[in-house]
This record gives sequence, C-alpha cells and structure tokens, in this order.
Amino acid sequence: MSIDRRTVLKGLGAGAALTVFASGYKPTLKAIIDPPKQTVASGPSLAPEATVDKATGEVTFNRQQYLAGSICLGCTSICGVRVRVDNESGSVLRVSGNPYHPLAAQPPAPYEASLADTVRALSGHQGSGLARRATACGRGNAVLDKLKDPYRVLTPLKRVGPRGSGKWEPISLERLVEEISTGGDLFGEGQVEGLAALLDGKPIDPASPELGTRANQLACIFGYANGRMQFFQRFAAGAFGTINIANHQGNCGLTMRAGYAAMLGDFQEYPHLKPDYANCTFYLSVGSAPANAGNPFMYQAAHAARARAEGGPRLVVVDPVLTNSDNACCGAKTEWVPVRPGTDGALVMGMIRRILETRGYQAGHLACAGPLAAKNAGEAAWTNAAHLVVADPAAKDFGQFLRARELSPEAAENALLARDVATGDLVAHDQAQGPCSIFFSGSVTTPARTVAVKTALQLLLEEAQSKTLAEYSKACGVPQADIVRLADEFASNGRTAVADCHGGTMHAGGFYTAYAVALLNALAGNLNRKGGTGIGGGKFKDFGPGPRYNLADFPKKAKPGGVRLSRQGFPYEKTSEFKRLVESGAKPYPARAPWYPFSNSVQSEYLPSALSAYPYPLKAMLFWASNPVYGQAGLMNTSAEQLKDPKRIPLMVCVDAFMTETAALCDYVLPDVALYEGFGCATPWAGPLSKVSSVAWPCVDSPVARTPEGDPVCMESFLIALAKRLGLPGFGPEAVADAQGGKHPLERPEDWYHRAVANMAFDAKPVADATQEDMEASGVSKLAESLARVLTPEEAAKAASVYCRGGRFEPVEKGWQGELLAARWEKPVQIWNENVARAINSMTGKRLKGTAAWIEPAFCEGTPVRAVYPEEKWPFLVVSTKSQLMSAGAVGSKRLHAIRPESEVAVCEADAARLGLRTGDKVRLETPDGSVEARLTVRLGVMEGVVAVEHGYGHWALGAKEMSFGAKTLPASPLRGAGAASNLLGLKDPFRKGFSTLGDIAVGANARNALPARIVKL
Amino acid sequence: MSTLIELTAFRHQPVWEMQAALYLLMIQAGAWAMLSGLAAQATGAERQRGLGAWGLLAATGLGLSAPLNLIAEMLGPHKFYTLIPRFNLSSPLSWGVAAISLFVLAGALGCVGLRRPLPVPRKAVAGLGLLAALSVLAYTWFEIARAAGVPLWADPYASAVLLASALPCGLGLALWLDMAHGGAAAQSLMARLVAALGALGAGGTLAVWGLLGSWPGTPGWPWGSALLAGSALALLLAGALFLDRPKSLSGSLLWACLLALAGGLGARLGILLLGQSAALGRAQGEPHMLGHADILGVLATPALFVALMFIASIIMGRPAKKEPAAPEVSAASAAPPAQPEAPADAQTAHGDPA
Repeated sequence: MSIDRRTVLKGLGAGAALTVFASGYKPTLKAIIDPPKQTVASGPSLAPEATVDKATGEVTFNRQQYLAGSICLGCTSICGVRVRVDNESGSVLRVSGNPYHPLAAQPPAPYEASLADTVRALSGHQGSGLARRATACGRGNAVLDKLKDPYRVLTPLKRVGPRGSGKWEPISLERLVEEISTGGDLFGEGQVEGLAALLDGKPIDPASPELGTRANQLACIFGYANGRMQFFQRFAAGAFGTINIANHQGNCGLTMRAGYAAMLGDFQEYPHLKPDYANCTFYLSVGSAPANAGNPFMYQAAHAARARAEGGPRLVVVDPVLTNSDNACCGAKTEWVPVRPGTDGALVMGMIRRILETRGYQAGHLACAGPLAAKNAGEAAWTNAAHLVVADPAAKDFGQFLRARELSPEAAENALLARDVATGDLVAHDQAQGPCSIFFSGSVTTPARTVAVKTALQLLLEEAQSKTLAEYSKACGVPQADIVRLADEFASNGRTAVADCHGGTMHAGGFYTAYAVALLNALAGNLNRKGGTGIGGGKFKDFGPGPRYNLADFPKKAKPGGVRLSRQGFPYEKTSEFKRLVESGAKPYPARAPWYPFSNSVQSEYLPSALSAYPYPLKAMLFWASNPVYGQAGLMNTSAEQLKDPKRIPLMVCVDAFMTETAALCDYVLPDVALYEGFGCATPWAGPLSKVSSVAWPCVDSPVARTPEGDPVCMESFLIALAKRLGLPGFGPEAVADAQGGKHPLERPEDWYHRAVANMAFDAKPVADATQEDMEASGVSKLAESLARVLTPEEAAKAASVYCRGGRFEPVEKGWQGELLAARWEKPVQIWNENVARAINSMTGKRLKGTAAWIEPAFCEGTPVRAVYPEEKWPFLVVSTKSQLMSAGAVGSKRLHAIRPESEVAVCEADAARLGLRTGDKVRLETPDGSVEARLTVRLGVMEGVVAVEHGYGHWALGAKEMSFGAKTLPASPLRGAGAASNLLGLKDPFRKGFSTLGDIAVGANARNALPARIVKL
Repeated sequence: MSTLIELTAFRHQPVWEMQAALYLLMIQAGAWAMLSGLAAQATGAERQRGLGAWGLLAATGLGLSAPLNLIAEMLGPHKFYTLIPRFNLSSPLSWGVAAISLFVLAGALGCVGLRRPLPVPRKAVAGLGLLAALSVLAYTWFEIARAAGVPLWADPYASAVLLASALPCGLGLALWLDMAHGGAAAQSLMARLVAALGALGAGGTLAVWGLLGSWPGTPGWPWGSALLAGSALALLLAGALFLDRPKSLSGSLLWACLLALAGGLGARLGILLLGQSAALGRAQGEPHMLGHADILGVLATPALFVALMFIASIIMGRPAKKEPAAPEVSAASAAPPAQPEAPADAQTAHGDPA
C-alpha cells in the first residue's frame, strides 16, 4: 500500500487536531474515566466535624474545625445556628441548626449535654440521627455568602460627591467622629451642625416647649432586636438623650403589634401573642404565611409542616396569595382562604359577628371581670368584656370606662364597674367574685349622674352587627357560607382554637384588622392556656439589672422627653400648635400630618416627617442596620430627590455592614460586623413557651477596619468613640456597675456583651462551668483571654459555658404548667380599649373606635383609597409576598440567587387571560404613585384582581449600582437589582401636607398592601 | 464565591455560553449538512454527488463532536452516563439525546454506504437521516424557544436566527469540503443561493430584532450588543460572498464559510448572553463557570471535527472495496462534472483523481 504525500499531510493534520482535542478535552475525559470518589453537587464534600463510633458512641472531634453557637441574621427570626468554621482559614464551612436551640431543634438537646453529646445525638448511634437533627432554613444555610460580599463596607466612608452619587472616600474612624461631632462645612455645601451642638439643652422651639430639647433633633433609627439593640439604645436614649429612637416595626409588622397591644392593653412594650403550636387544634393564620415567613419562622414552619403532613392543628391560611402553607396533597388538614387585599378585617368581623350571635364564645371566661373572679372560675386570664363603657356621646367621658370611684369614693383609683350576674348590682372589677354581665345596654345611676352605658362586649357585638354577613362577604370576597363555616369551626374547637396575623395586615386599615384577629383569641378564651395563645417564655436576664452587672442604669443617664418626630404617643390636642390655633379661632383640624396618640415604633413617619420638618426639623439622623429607604413602601418613589437634599436633613450617618439603599443616601457610612462576626444576646419572638436566650460571639474574623484596640469598626466601637468624644455618660471607664457596686469600663464591645452573658449565666440557678473539651470543640477557647480580661474567673467559666452552647435555654417542657402556660399575661384582655377610644384623629377631630372593627383601607382623614383610585382605572390590588429563601437583606447570596434569581410577580389565570398575558411577559406594574417593570408569572393560587409581588428584590443599592471608594470602583452587578421592588409601588397620602407615605389610619404603620394598581404589557 | 466573577459576569461572558453556543452551532450545522447532502443525493446530479457525500460526512463529524460540548459543560461529566437511560417525555434533553443518537446512527450508516453496500435500502437510510436531521433541528428549536424563564430565548425570532444561521454553516462546510476534494457543487448557483439566503436571512433578522432589543441600559449593553451587531454583519457579508462563484479553495467560499461560522457562533453567544443577562437565570456567575474557560477547552470539539474530516478525507481517498451503486441520474443532470476553474489536482468526492 502506497502512502502519498497528501495522505501524510492529512494524517498529520488529523493528528494535530486530535492533539488539540485531547489537550482541551482532557479534564472532561479525566472526569468521565475517573470520577471523583466523593462528590456532592458543588464538589468534594467536607471532612466531617466529628466522627462517632456507631457501636460505642465515642465522639472524636475534627480539630481542624470548630462548631460555634451563634445567631442567624438571615431574617428577623434570630434562630440559633451552629457555625462550622475551618480552624486554619477561619472561614465558615457550613451552617446548621444549634441543637440546643428550640427554634432549630424539636426537641432540643438538654442544656446539660456536652457538645460531644449533641454530635452523638445527630449520629446513627442508637438510631438517634435524624430524629434529633437541628436545622437552619434554606436562607440560614446560604446567607453565609454575605460574609464575603464584595460590596461590603469595610472602612469608614465619607461621601465626596452629591448625596447619593455613590462616590466615597475612606476616612479614619477618628476623623469621622470628629467631623460629625463638631460639624462645619463638611462637604463644601454649607455649614452642618455637629452633634455636640445638639447637646446644649436648649428647646427645639421655645414657643412649643413640649417638643423637648435639641437632643431630639438627632433621630436614631435601627432595625430589629438582633441581639445588639440595647447598646444602640443605651447610646441614643440613655447617653445622648434623644427621644427619637425607632426600630423597623412601622415598616414591617406594626399593625399586628398594635392589634395585640390593644388587646393586651400595653402600647409601650408591644407584647404579642403566638399560638401554642404544639397543642392547638385549629390555627387561623390571617395575612401571614407560616411556611414561608413570619416569626419565629423555623419554629412555626416546622409546626405548619407537621400540620400539613400529620394533621396537627388544622391550618387555615387567609391570604390573597396561596403560599407553601397549603397544597392539594394536604387535603382537609390545611386550607387556603383567598381574601381580597386589605379586607381580611371584614372576614374576621364577620366571624366575630357569627360567633357572638351563636354564642360560640367562652362566656365563662369573658364574664370574669377581674382577677378574683378569674381565680374563682379557674380561668387563666380575665377580660374587660363585662366592664361598663360610657355610651352617651354627650358625656365628657364618652367611650371611657365607668370608674368605680364615681359610685364609691373608697374604690381603687383604677377600679372599673361591671354588673354582677348574681345580684344585678354594680361591682368594682377588682372586687367581683363571680361572673358579670357581658351583654348590657342601659343606663346607670351614680351619685353624680345617670348615664347610658354598654358593656365592652356589647360594643363589640354592635360593631360587628353594623354590617351584615352578606356585606362582609361582599367586601372581602369570601363567600358568606365560608365565613360561617370558619366561625363555627373556630368556635367548635373551644380553647384550642387560635388566630394569628402578621404582615398581610400592613395596609391602611390594618390596625383594626389585627385587633379583630386578636379578639378572636379573646372570644375563644385561649390566652395563657395550653393549646391556646401565649406571650412566650421570655428570656434570661442579660442587659437589664442582672445578678452580676447592671447594664441598664448608669450615673447621669439621660431621661429623654418631648414629642417624637413621628408624632406617636402624644395627642395633637396637647401641643402648643393646637392651642395656638384654638386660641386664634382657627380650625385646629386637620393637622398638617396625622398624630398617633397611642401608637409606638412608627419608623415609617420618621423620614417623611424629617423631610417635611414637622413637627420640627431634624439636624441629624443615625441609621444602624436598618434600611427604610428600601423597606418603606412609597418613600423612594415619591421623595427620592428630597432625600438627597442636605438642606432637609443636614447630616445622615449610617452604620451598616452593607451599602444599603439607606446607606447610599447618607453622608457618612461606617462598617459593621455581619452575621457571625459580632457579639449579640437575642431572644426569639413569642413562639417558644420556655425561656430562650441566644448568644453570638465573633466566631469568624471580620474583614472590616480595626480600632487601635483591635476591635472591628462597628456600631459598638463607633458609638463608644462618639460617646467619649461628646463626653456622654454611660461609656468609658467606670461606666458599668456590678452587683456589689464596683465600677467597670465600657471601652470595647466585649465589655458589654461578656457582662450580659455573665448575667445570663448567673440568672436563677447558675449554669455549670464550661469544660475544656466544649471550649475547644466550640472555638470558645479563642475567647478565653477576652473573658479573663472582662470577667472574674468564676463568671468567665460560666459565661464560656453559655457561649459554647450558643445561649441559655430552659427545658422546653417548662413552658407548660398543667393545662396552663408557664409564662402568663396578667393584665386584662381589652375587648374595649379606652386608650384607643380616647384617641382623636388629628385630621378630622373625630374619635377612633375603641374596639375591633372593619375599616376599609383609607387615607388619613378617612376617605377610602378606592374612592380616590377607583377599580375602573386601577383594577388590581398589589400585595407583597415573602419568599422562604430571599429576604431584602439576603440579596447578594450567590446560592439564593442561583435558586431564585428574581422575584415572582404573579397574577391568576383569569386576569391574565383577560389582559392577554402569559408567563414570561414583560409588564409594567403601575400604581398611582409608582411603577416597576417585571416579568409576569401566571399561576393558580392568586386571587382574582390581585398582583402578588415578592418582596426583597429589585434593589438599587447593595451592589446594584456602581460605587467608587477613593480610586477603587466597584461596578454594578445587575444580579443585585434583578426583579421588582414592591415598595416602589407605594402611595403617598394626598390628604396630608408635606411628604408622606400611605399609613394605617390609627397607628401610622406603612401600607404596603392593598395598593390600587394596573398592569401594562410591554 | 469569586468576587471577580460576580463583578465581571456581565462584561466577560461565562463559558457556559461558549460551550452551549458551540454545541448549538455544531449540531444545527450538522443537521443542515445532512439535509444538504440528502438533497444533493436526491437530485441525482453528478455535480452534486460530492456534496451528497461530504454533506453526510460533515454531518456525522459534527454529530459526533457537538455533544461533547454538553458533556464538558456539565459540572460532573461522569454524570452524563446517568442522563441517557432516564428518558423523560417532557424533557427536551431526553428528546435531544434520542434525536442526536438517531442522527449519528443515520450519518454513520450513510457514510458507510459511501464506501460499501449496505444491508438496508439506501432510501431507508436517507429517510432515517432526513428524520434525524429534522428532529435535531426541531429539538434545538424547542429547547430554546420553550425556555419560558428566559424571554429573549422564548421569542421565536431567537430560534429562527439560530436555525437560519446554521444553514450557511452546514451547507457552506459541505460545499467547501466538496470543493477541496475536487467537487463542483459549489459552482451550482442554487446551492450557493440557499446558503446565501440562510446567511442573509439570519443576519438581517439578527440586525433588526437583536439590536432592537439591546440598546443602552439593557443588561447586555454594550458587549452583548456589540457581539450581536458583529454577528449580524458577519452573516450578511457571508451571504454576499456565497453569491460569488468560488474560484479557489482560499477564495470567496472559504471566507463565506468562515464568516458564516463566526456569525453563527457570535449570534449564539450574543443571544445566550443577553438572554441570561436579562433573565439572570442559569445561575449566572456561579463559580464553576470559570473552570472551563481555557482556550484549548473551547477549541477541543472543533478540533475533533477537523480531525474527523481529515480521517474521512484519507478514507475517502482510498479505493472502495466495492463502489456503491451509482445514483440514478437523469440525462439532463448528467452534465460533465469538471469545471474549467477546478484546480488541476482536485479530486472527486470519492478521492479519485479528477
């Protein structure tokens, strides 16, 4: 066979090409031929943190890793997590649940168990394994990405361009503190008053002394109780002395809080109820998604999962959007009741009417008008259902309870009157021994007068009967038969029927909706009862006066006073402004903006009020771990330019680990520790019924700049430096007193947190000392030097034990005492709340209703939103929904983006067909004051006429926008801006002067739901 | 997580697009090559005989090489084995595996048939090839067009551009290979006109539709947009060059082929990049994406195709054990194959001296 030259060349060509192929394809071929021995989705798995001999149970820890107990900050549930850290690199390897923590494990490990015991319990030894597992949710697993977020703020920054330009220069902490303290022409835009000048003790306005001193012109805004807020509050209220300190509630779940506060009669502490998930038999969840979000998320999600799978409590979710809480496979165990946004109050008031008319309430419970009667009847709580309320509109005390002193001067000051059933006589509630009349409408004669009265429950009945069931049904879109069925089922479950609500009630009629939901529990008489509702088990002592240290009080502690910028907790009628108007003969109503006499934590009013300079202008705002610019519906889309105007708010400082939308609009930004990098002592929401105190410690190094002492530049180190510069009390040497009167410094973050943990460790029966093995296995040995510096050896050993376990936890079974809950609410349940009834709408001069009611979402002076923005023009109503994965702060987590890259904007099939839309269509969602572009999802499970927008996406900061730090530029990542931001759809209130966002008529909570909208196909 | 990747994800396209783009281009070009070869065979014209053979050979080579891009794209290539036995009726991937398997089988049978008699009728093999090629085109169309989460892909214009741009690539390759082996099919205006129409249609569509959807402010701007513009230009130029009668191996046909290939690849890269950028799907910027981003890795499968064509050329240059039956040709089409412009040492499609 002859081979010609051409063939040889072809052969060489083929050989060369095959060589290129082999070289390029070698890795793939290698992987095909010799696959990795041990693989998971993302590559070879980690070496285990410990090995357990299945036969003997002997535990051998992997000394290359440690298992730190910490707090998850992926959302606001603050679950306990176990952070697995590589000893060598110091990086987080995995995050799982803390086995000791009731939110992460059901049942949790005994507190006495060693770390080795908890590892053994998770193994196959004696078949425990999965049954004892401790979990973090999907977000909790993935949010560790944020530690290495390229857009983190790592050093103090000062803006070098116009506010919001994204141009920053790094500066030292010392310079930053000096500049904001002294002020001056800081940005070449004119003089800025420094914080020091606000401490001169002068009134804001001598003509309106009730406004307080100029210290109030600093507003301090923070996020939530993440375990560090007490430090922030110590600075803001205790040291600086401003009354303007607010958390995020006004933009999150204030309506729910206020509804429970009205029921429980405490608008200061804002207690709230949660079901006894483990023992209730019927769980009505209104405007919340127990398997998607809510607090405490994992705890209630686990119980909701049990309800779905095994049939625990029958779970009924009332919401415009079907969530994970129900699906067809669950059958009758769960139910989704679609409801028109903003009208859940109509459904609940319909249920209340039905329950009252069919006597489905716990009459014996409601008839207990005082503690003695309750004790005699074996009740766990008492109510004011039988208390008499003045019903004569002409009476001065119309809407107030009839005082017992009016009948008898010897009666206690706060004693109220009721009618004893047995005798028919009036009786002071604290003297009532037996049941009192719960329905009464008539008149009462006292030495002073004869006055028309009604019992509180009678007033609730009349309010419920102000509309027919058909009218309620028409308003909410739930068939009348379903309202009746739900009411009957609720009543038939007796004391183990519970109702709860949350963010779905954040609409312009939300307070009364939440109050109505809360009162369903009152009618069921389930408060403080096993299977009912409770206020939660609480926590061990930490930041207050504790067994070892008093972290609450200190010499020269300020006593903030005056009117809050948000106009909360202060009646308009007591202001100088009102008095001047009255004296001048002018009409005092409407006020320039609503006042909220009984509300609290109305963060949603701070920025609009600051921009409007009403009731007074602000000089400075300090934000910490809070992002109202993104989180407040209607703010950015209506006031973006004004927020950038330094003339309106001259100085804005933000402390945050990330360049949030709020930070991006500030003049100075300071870094903060993130996730597992810092200290913290937190308590979960009311779900757990036994005491739970979680702690976090810096189990991984923070990449942020350091102070000269070696601490990260963070909220604590910044405020210590600022307080020392301003000469404020409560910080520096001798700032903290111990139980024996000794003085200790507060110079570093650990000075604060170690002492709080020492209090926790010594509360009641002190915990055992930490063992060396636990300290090594948990990494707490790294804290030994710091503990020894701050605490006594005795305290250090016990505090270390708490750190090793990620907190201190009471045994779960201590949450119950027989048929009652161990932690009980002792004040009366308020069927009628006279604080609410006493309040006057500052826009109309009319009184608010004193009991639960169906109030259509309305503007501040009562005009229904739909009257201004009719359905013909705005055929949809927008609601925000929550993902169980992404949260507003979790943006940037690669894992979460990989799973869910953008938000769902969903409509139902009928609406889509009507508009000719299909899944994937690009649309513009428009409300009267905002619009967003989005990709549409058409699916079942959305009520007709509703657009569901998943919250947490569509950022315009947090990396979505280019930023420069000195010479370094970080380009924008569209990944961060993907999806639609539901809050850009929010409304302003056209009936108010100045800047505003739509809020609840009674408590001012930001309205992010039930917003009129239309869809435009692009 | 790599900071670099996240920050540059939209400036340097992830490799996922490159290997997916290569895959789509090669498999779709292969299908068109197969259809070209079958059409040439069906004409029975002597001048088209070489195109008939090289169309099949190129199709088979591309059919063998293209799927390797998908395997390489997988994070765990060893998991490729697990995909095959799990046929899922609702999965385009399963249909794709079936279509490609059929395609390679039909191509291989056809190639064998070029050298020796087959135990099955040639028309059956041709029918199988036709079905396989159409299946491949249909499957790739649906795979892109049914990507509901990526609106840019779900648009029918995207799939149309992909399919049309592969036509000049597949047909052009077959024509050039035929010409390199002494064939004269490229002298046929009809064949070149078909290739030109494919290129002009794809280029025109891309220019109008693609660029309209990628202006400043859209996620793909400016690099993705530039890519689409360049691809449209390349395809339009290729279309024009296809219309020119080729005179040498390094002349207009070669440039038309190269421009069509460049335009086809660029169009795919641009569409995939812009689609993902807009939809942020497919875990854009995931760390594993970077692991495949070496030049050799990208060149591997085209190199394999080149090697296969060299091998085919060697085999086809050797005398067949037994000549396959000559296709039935009509008297009108039995024109002399040789063209005055053909190089002196050109060979027929069978490798024999002209």
